[in-house]
Amino acid sequence: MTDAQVIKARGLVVRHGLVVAVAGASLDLVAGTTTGLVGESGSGKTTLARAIMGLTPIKSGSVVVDGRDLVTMTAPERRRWLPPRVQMIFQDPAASLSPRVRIGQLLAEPLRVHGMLDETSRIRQLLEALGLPFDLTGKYPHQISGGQARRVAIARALVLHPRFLIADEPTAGLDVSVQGDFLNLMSSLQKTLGLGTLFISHNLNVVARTTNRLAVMYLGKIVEEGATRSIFAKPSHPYTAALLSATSEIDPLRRKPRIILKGDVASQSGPPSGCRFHTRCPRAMPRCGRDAPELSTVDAVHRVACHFPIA
Amino acid sequence: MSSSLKSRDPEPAKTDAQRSALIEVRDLSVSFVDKHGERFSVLRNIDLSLQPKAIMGVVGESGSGKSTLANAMMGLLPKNAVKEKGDIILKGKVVDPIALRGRALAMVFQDPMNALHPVMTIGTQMVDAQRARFPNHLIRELRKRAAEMLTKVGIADPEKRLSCYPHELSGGMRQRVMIAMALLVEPDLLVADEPTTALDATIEAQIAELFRASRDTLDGATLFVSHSLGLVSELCDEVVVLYAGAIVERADVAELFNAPRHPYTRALIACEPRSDDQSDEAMVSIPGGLPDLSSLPAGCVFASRCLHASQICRQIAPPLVTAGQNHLAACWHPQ
Amino acid sequence: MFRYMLWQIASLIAVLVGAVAVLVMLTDLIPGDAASVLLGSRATPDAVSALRHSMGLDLPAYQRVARFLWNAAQGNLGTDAISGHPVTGTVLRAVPNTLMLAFGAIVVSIGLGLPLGVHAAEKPGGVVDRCTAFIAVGLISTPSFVIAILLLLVFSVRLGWTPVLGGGEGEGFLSRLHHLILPVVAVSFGWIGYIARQVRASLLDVLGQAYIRTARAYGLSNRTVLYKYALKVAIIPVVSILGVGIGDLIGKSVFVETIFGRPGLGALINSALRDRNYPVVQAGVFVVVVLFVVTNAVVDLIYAWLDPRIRERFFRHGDQ
Ligand SMILES: Nc1ncnc2c1ncn2[C@@H]1O[C@H](COP(=O)(O)OP(=O)(O)O)[C@@H](O)[C@H]1O
Ligand SMILES: Nc1ncnc2c1ncn2[C@@H]1O[C@H](COP(=O)(O)OP(=O)(O)O)[C@@H](O)[C@H]1O
Ligand code: SF4
Ligand SMILES: [Mg+2]
Ligand SMILES: [Mg+2]
Repeated sequence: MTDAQVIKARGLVVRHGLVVAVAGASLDLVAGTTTGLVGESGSGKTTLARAIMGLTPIKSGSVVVDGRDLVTMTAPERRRWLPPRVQMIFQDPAASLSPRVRIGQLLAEPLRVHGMLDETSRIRQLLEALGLPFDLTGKYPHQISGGQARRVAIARALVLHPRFLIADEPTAGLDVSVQGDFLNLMSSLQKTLGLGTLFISHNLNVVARTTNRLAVMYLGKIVEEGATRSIFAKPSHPYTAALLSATSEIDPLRRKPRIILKGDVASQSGPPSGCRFHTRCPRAMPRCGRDAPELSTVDAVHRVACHFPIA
Repeated sequence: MSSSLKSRDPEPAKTDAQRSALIEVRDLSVSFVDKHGERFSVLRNIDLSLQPKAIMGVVGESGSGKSTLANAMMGLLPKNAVKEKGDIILKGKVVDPIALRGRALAMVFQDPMNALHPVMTIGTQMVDAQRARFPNHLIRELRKRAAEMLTKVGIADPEKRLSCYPHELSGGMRQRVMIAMALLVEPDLLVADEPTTALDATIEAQIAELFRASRDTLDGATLFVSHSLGLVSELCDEVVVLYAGAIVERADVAELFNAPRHPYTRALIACEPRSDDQSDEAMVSIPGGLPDLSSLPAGCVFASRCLHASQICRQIAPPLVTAGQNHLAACWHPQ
Repeated sequence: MFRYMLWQIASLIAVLVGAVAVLVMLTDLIPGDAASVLLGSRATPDAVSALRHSMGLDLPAYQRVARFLWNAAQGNLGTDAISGHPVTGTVLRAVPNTLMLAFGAIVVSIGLGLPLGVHAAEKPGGVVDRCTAFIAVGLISTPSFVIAILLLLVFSVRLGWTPVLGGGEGEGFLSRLHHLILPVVAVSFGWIGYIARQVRASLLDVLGQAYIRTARAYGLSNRTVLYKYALKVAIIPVVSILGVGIGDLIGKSVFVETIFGRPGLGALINSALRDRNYPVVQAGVFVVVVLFVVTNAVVDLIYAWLDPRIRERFFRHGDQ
């Protein structure tokens, strides 16, 4: 695997004031695969994504993108280095389009900034791939439909042909009736362009359908990580198991016995000692309150941070 | 869960004749007036009947009129809503829901972050919520009831919690408070409008469990609005599918999910992603969108998106008719 | 909470020091040095420099600031350059008149503005709503001395209902109140409308909130919803507006009392300015600033008391 094909985040720590939003997380994004990131709200998913995008200061750790560590770069260097390599789409992507800029300009601007030529043909190709008519370029965001705006947001992210795409809850607020369409588009783009995607979502069923690898976050730490199939088939971390059991299923035959966790997510500003999950964990032992477990190997494609993983 | 409420097996389905409705909605139609003074129809000819202790699920895409139905049953329609016609019937009598709020009717809302008053304590709010129902009780008694109910919904140290402000509680905890508030009123109808939508998965599971368990305490019926088919299938006894303001299908839960008759219901179920289904097949969606509510089509409201639509579908609206045992569907070509 | 108080007191002191520094520098900027102005053009240079020395004008500015503050802390606001009496007594005699006017204006602004605002919110588009809108938009920006003169012309000169001049000092309480009416109206007029508008806007906003719907869903009466649930939140932004407004009210009071010839701080500063009696000007302005700072601190405390979310933030400050 060449450098260009991977983003390696190692031991990332990000603080917001007193809150340690990401408390030492490591994650690999590989071109051509989709990595899911799940966890309760406030667990640090967005912060982790923003750190990889160079959008938030990193306290310690490293993020190596195409062979260069963001931490060692100056801000202007990052602004040149990252956009052609990694792009991000946000929750409610349509709302992130600036209202006073025509779609065409919106798409051409990054190309110009990064000195790429033949704008028009690139934009034409991209819009075609997204199933959007070219005459959209003359319109303002409010003149197009919500569904189109969502696609335009993707187009803007892809116009520089990045190898990596980070999507932060891109389907939040979408009805199931249109969500499928959107996800199909994402996965076909991912395949044809060979993108490495980080897909943040709170809908586990969607994650199961759309990702190859999965990372589960709890209070700023990644507690389980591995091949999506393997984790769904046999979750090792008690939190993952509870999370998976919490998704509702229409088909009674598919329903898993539900593990109801006690209590709420603990506070990020004063996380529990030892394993951060021990206050809610049905398997907790005294040791869990003392030692913080490190990620360790379950099998070739699966790692977990738990003293007493589910066998 | 530390709750003392325990879930139990749902009662076996009764036949129609055995059912005696506790609360009914008859032929309810509601419109809204938009900024330009134009009317658009949001609910049309809604008929519902809810049995004691039963949970009725209401599903449908956003904009289909679920919240409007919930609000209409609570007498909480916004100012620009017009009730065109229809009645709410409680125990056989036509009633004005506004007069029954906090007595026979109680509600749990979607957003637990904003549904509680930010600068009043939980205790004050829980006491006030019982005033209409128990006008002759002393505040001390109402507070005691509130503390007991907090324990029942799984909140430890209730006395301390009563003097908390909402911002001192987590989202899940606030929703428990809201549910406790509703149960305190011992309502004939508990309306819950997307009570878990704003919550995380593990917290959603806790709250769903609480609703299931609430049947032990609550003799009234529950109207449970959700856009999550999975949750509704697990929690409810009966399900109503709304589309563009009309009931397109209604049946007992097992029947509805095992043998959906309406193409919309079938499509909606097909859209729901399944965790163990990791095939590379494309995911399903329903192309198109809700019709323009201010100029509804002459025929079936779903015709523009329906794969089975025929000539008659586009001309004449299908009536809601029997499509199986205790099963209604509004479709010319039920599947 | 303790930390919060300390912070408040520190910022209070900072404002005071800043104000005194500005005062001292202004005295420096005024053409003609205070001492020579006082002694007249025929004074000998020796006499001027002696007076300069006794007034402390020969000291560097920062020392004068420190000296003024140090003396003020001990209750000594300086010596009247003309009469040679301590200024403190003069100023303290003027303060109650100004305070009466300012607080009268605050009470009237809130006492009328709040209920009018509630009424306007209950019946948007009604008579009260439109009147308060007119007052707020039309009169908040009209200088209060214009209103004062108009009021004087109509009610005192024309109709003779109210006294023309003075604060009714040395007379009974009722007479004092009588003297207070017009000045209070002049100061608070625009504010009544402004507060009513603010109350209306924030009440309408609050009435659309989810927690109000909750209260209604539990059968609470309209009265309870409005006065207990909605107003509690709606007045929070109004209080913060008042924080700014109090400065304005005090400022207006100082102007208005000059017009009505009330022997308050305004009249005092005004006549001292005319006489170039700088120690009195300094002391008078200093007291106005103190009043301003203290009332602002009180408003902040009320704010915290009304909103537990803010209260908690203060407490947290204290914990760390
Ligand atoms: N800009 C910010 N300032 C302060 N705290 C923040 C900020 N953004 C996030 N946080 C805090 O960091 C934690 C992680 O947040 P976030 O990364 O948004 O989580 P997630 O995306 O998993 O919901 C939370 O406790 C959140 O309150
Ligand atoms: N206060 C309102 N004013 C105007 N239109 C409204 C209002 N509330 C809801 N609507 C409209 O009524 C329709 C149904 O909305 P709603 O009952 O909220 O649907 P749901 O809860 O199923 O998403 C939508 O088209 C919505 O835009
Ligand atoms: S009536 Fe026709 S258009 Fe409507 S759902 Fe049935 S088949 Fe489809
Ligand atoms: Mg997030
Ligand atoms: Mg709704």
